[in-house]
Amino acid sequence: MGRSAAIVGTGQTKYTSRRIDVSIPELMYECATRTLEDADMAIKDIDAVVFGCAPEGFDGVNWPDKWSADAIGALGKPMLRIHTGGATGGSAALAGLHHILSGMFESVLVISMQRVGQTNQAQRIFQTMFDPLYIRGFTMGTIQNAAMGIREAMQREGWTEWHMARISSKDHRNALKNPYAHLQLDVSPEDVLNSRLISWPLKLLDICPRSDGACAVIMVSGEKARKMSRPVAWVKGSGAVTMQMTPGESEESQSMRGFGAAVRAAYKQAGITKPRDEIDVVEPYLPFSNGEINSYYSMGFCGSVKESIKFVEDGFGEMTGEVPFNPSGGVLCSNPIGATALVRVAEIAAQAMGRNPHQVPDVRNGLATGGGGNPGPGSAMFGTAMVLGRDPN
Amino acid sequence: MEPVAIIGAGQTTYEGAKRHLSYQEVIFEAAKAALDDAGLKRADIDCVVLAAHDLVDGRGISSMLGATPAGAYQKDETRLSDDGALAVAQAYMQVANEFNRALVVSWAKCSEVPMDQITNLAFDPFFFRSVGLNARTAEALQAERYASRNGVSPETAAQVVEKNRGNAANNPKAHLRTPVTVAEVLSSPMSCYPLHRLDMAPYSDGACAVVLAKGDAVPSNRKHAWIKGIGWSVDSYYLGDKELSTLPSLKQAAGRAYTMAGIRNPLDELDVAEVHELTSYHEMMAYEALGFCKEGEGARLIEEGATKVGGKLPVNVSGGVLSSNPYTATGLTRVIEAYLQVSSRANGHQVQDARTALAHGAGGIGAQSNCVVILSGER
Repeated sequence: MGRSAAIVGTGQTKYTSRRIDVSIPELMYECATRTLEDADMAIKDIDAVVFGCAPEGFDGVNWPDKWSADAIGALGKPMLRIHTGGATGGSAALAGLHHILSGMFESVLVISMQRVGQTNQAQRIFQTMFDPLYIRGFTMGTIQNAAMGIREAMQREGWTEWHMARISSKDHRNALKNPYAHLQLDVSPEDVLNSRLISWPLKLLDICPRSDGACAVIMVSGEKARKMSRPVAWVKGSGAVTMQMTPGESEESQSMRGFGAAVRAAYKQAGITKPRDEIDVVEPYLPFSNGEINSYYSMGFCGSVKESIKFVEDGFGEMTGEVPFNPSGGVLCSNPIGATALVRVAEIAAQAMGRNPHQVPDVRNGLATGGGGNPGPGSAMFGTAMVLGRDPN
Repeated sequence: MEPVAIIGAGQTTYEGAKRHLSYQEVIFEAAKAALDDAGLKRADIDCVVLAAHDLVDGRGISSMLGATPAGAYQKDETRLSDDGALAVAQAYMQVANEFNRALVVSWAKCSEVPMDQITNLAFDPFFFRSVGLNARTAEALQAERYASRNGVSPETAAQVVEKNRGNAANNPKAHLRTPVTVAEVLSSPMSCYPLHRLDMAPYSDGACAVVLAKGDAVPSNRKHAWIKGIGWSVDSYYLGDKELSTLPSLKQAAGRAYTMAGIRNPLDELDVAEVHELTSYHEMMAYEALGFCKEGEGARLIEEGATKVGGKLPVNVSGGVLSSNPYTATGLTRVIEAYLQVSSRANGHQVQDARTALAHGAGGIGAQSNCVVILSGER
């Protein structure tokens, strides 16, 4: 114990529907090289690799990690592959953290990817997540599943489609400043409300895209980080929690209990007791526009859902608001599934290092979350959270 | 680093097809057995590490339905899409860092999917997939290169099968428990040259689990398996980019594990080993990579009987992968068998005075990725 860890470099590829110009290893090479350059390190400085990729049905190759081993410089190094659905990138970052804090390694490349553009049947692949005996036959997809929970939550919590539209508009406008974002659309809440209905109350612009892309971070021991002359992002706390997968039975699919427990665990490790005062920026994993409404509450920024509705109306999470949520544009604008949760970590790390292209001023601490499986209204079967900061604990 | 021990393990029986059980039921049986073996309840577990492959399970996210029967509800849980031995590596780091007790669970129901197609999908879509390569044919290429480079006869390979299948007769969990002779191996159908049907591992259904703990969480009332060394590594993906008769990432993984455990001469210092032999030839390749002999001399250990029960270093006393192969879980099975040996609890196949054991898990096609764990009965 007594060890610490910091992120010293991040790298992303431009997210898009289809990267037809590269193969999987070529995409991963692009991402790994960019990340090493950002950290001012060479591949020989890396002790171990954690690879994240969610369902390989999207990518059309079993074990894209093994295919990419040569391209990312993993040959002869310890490498393992993490897959917790949409939470994959968050789980991979946590796995990397354990690599360092256990004392086994001094520097780890955590690299995640997905090429959803390799399939034209993404929802059919999502459908195979569900039990083949009971649920799969209903042709359940992620969007319908989420819509069911959102309808229930709207009724119970008292927010409307307008609140969702306000969040979506904010995220899409934030993405205009993010060179890596997939969707860069200057849309108003009215534009969101008028976009095509997909599964009520979800309209096209309430829903994340499916993207091709990769993201990576380099994590090193505190000892190594202290010797670096540039700002680094200290990992101050982390948490993970797994819930259960039975949409019809689980109340937590409506209550964000999974996310909340992971976030509380991360706050506890980071010594954060008043998130509203101590957290300056959040990159939450929220694939649908409603998720942020409840997050203000479940992430501890206010004391009730009622208050969080007021937060939406007051612009609490806007770039000019009290605590900006998703300066990058978030999952609503870029969603390379297995990498999406690592993008959250990379974005917060860059914020804490003070060199994000869409920088929030004076960031002391930021929060990144991940969520995968069983998509209820912003809830998840697998939840992860990480608090990163400018200064060590 | 504070020492970490394996304090309990559970395995289902391995079978060709567990038609009477859903995959959740198979997972639950193994996880529950490991907790029972460790004398723990689910509430005692701090974190869960799973190993499962989506395509082998026929699921988009195989842990979405697998995590709950594995005991992960409301726990810190992660899942590897890799061999089960690597899940032990991840859990080891998590326990060394933060947690007191970890539950590791891995599974596969190979009977429900076309394994040759699933492993064909591991090849890149541009060059190799359409050639028809799959796990079997890739392993055959390695076996043929090994045999021709080192002058290894089919009879010697068949002796590996005879040894392991004979051992499996004493392992109540094993899938194939009928002993076979060298003659029977050689007269079994030629499946994929130079591999006879009996030179190849079966595909099995089954699950297994272990509990890792440190400090006060390790009970003092019985023997455990202390993790003395652990290492893992990965090779090039392209078969054409490597010498097919060797397993370089196994050599690297073993090197790291031996250094950590302070082992200089594995043949003398190890008492028993469980290797991940994809085929009979791969067991001899593993001997070389693990430093049991020089490169090219693996066949000699078989011909001399050095790795039989009663030999200098008994290998695959459980019957090995040639007898039970729950694919994703196979590396974890090796770790469990090594644990059973050093904690003197191998039912029916205990090696006398087994103090130090090696377990080897392989992943990817033709063991592209390898993990080595060194266990000792003494702290």
